[in-house]
Amino acid sequence: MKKLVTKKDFILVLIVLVVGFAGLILVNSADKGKTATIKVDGKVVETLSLNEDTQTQFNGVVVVVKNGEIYVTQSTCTDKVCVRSGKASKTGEGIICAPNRVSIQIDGNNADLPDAMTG
Amino acid sequence: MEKLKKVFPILAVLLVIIIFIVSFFGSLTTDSETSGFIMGSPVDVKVYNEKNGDTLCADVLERIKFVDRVYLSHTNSTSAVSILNRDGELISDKWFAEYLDACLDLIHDSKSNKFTLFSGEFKDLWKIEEGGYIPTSDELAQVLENHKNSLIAIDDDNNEISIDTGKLDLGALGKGTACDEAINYLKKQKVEKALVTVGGSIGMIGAEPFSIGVRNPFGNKNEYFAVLNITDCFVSTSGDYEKYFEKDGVRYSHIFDATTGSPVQNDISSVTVVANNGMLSDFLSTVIYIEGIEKGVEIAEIFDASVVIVKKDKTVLVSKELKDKFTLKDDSFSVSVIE
Repeated sequence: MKKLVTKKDFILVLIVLVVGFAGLILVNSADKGKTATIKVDGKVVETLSLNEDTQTQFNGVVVVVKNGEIYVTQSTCTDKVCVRSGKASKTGEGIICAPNRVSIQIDGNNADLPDAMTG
Repeated sequence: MEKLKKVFPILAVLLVIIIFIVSFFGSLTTDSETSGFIMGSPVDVKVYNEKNGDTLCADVLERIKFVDRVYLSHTNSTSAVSILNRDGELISDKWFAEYLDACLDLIHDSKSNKFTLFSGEFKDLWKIEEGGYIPTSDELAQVLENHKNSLIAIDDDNNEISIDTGKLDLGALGKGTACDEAINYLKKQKVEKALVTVGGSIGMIGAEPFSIGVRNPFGNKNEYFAVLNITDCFVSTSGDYEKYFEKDGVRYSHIFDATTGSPVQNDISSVTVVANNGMLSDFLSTVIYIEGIEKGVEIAEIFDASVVIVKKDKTVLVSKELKDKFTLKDDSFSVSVIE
């Protein structure tokens, strides 16, 4: 009588299970809605989705969203700290151009933001 | 043959695992969201923890588009409102006849004589859509005289509707009505958690409260000065910042007082209303804005609705029913509870 399930079969089953669950976790953890809030003079002027590539200008600061990252490519300021800050993409990261009073802040996945706005 | 016997159990086990994984993915529920632009406003539909959420969201968007195109739209020349304004009469359907009846009932029950469904003529006279114009007293008197004779008649037996002079404008209730249509549909589909936004009007279903930002009437459109934690209700806001023009330092809003034929001028910047249906919350936010604080608060009580009223001096009046659900986020406002 041959064994119905050999050791090799067992390993194969294990591999399939691991791959399946890894895929499941990957699908569920995909970041769906990260946004960046742009403020001028401390006032919110725009909320950009990091999923949509775009280029906009705020008070002399050119802001680019590409591949889920946000960064400053040009600015009318003299110190260019904002341009040198590099790319931001994680919750809590931010870029500030103090001379032009522009701040860019990555929002959490809806952290702190209300679910909807009336008005 | 011997080989086949060996492969068979492996295949069987694999098959079971594949079925298991596929059915696991299939039973996963997700949150879905769809956005659009209807009735001149951004529309956002969110449905939570549903397998067919994307379809449900799309259905809701279609229903709102339908209600706008077929009944309420001013831009579509074949909508019920457009036909009535052009021909003065219309054989409609049960939905629209009942809807107009409900509008008239609301106005009647509110006892407001300053709110009108015939604000279309005022909007045209003051050229609200074209940058603004201040009419002469003769022009104003003529339109007011005309407005006095504005009348709507509804024959419920054959859904026949007719109007005598005047220009119907259901904009004050349209967005709330869209929320009603959306939430009614989602409830019928047994959805347990959903959030529908049409312009400044919101409808909600859910066991846990949603956080709803109340716009700062003195800031830009993303700014909120307070948050309401509410659910299973509808909320709408009317404000002087929505659509207006300014001449010689005076702000003329798009909301009209039917007794003067002029944009409302008072100490209110915005009115937010929480009610048990969207048409009501939308209607009340406009009526209370027009009638002013004292009469407005009485009207809210008639309909068991609660309010957040922001005055031009940054003082905020909150109904006592909302006291525990209201969180101030901007210290430059001062809050008092309406007892």
